[in-house]
Amino acid sequence: MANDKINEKDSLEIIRSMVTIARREHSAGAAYYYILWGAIVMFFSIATFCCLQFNMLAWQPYTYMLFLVGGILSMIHSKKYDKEEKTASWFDDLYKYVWIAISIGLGLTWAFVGVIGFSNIIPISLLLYGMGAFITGGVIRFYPSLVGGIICFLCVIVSFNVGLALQSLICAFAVLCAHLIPGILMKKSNKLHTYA
Amino acid sequence: MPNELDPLLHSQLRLSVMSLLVSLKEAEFTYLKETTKATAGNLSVQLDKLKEAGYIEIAKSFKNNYPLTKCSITPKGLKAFEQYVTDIKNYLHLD
Repeated sequence: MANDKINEKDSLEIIRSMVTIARREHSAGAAYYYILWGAIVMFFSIATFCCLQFNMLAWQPYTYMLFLVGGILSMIHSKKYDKEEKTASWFDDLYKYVWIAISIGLGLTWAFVGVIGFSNIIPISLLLYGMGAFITGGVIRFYPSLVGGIICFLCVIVSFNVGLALQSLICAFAVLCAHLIPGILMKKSNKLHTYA
Repeated sequence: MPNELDPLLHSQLRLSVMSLLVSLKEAEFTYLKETTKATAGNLSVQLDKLKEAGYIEIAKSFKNNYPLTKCSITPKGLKAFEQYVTDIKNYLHLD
């Protein structure tokens, strides 16, 4: 690009195109984590449903290994991405602090499962998860994540009224809508959808 | 009567750089060069002009023994950019 003279319409077009390019930068990194953690939580939920429904409770503790795998893959990707990254986005801090807060909330919720009760743990976890998807989707104006968050909230209402096994299945569906599908869409299109 | 457009921003490359930096917290020189498709020399000159005006900050360091230049917009630059966009809209009767 030379430093050519421009007219006013050109100015607006330059601003529009550069802002679109810049927005694409941070969506590429976010898509990986959406897909990874969406898949992990979804498979964990399906595995939990199978353990509960088909009386395979002895296998249930092994399903937690999925989170260990997810943590390792996240760390590897983060290190690789940090090396290659040439930009820092205002949204990086948003993602980081929102999902750290959600993770702490989930950790504390599950730590006190004895107090909260097994029948309430999944709906509360879904609520936190939905909040994360809704907030990040709303702030970055990514419509599929926003809708996924709303679906999570609706699943919370249903979950409070069904048994534990079915709650796990509902959780798998909610995570598919709030994380996996938005992540795949984000990766495919590599651009943000506006809802306004 | 619309305001006169900021001459520092009313130029293709400088406006492109500012538009990118408004959306990003920070960007490396190589990213700006790749995205704007400018030559290194030309981009360097334009960045210096923006820095002299106080619109951007330039931080130089090293990464794996290679020089690293990072740019970010300043509050003054952000205000100037917002004013520029307002003036453009007034000029084009978009408000």
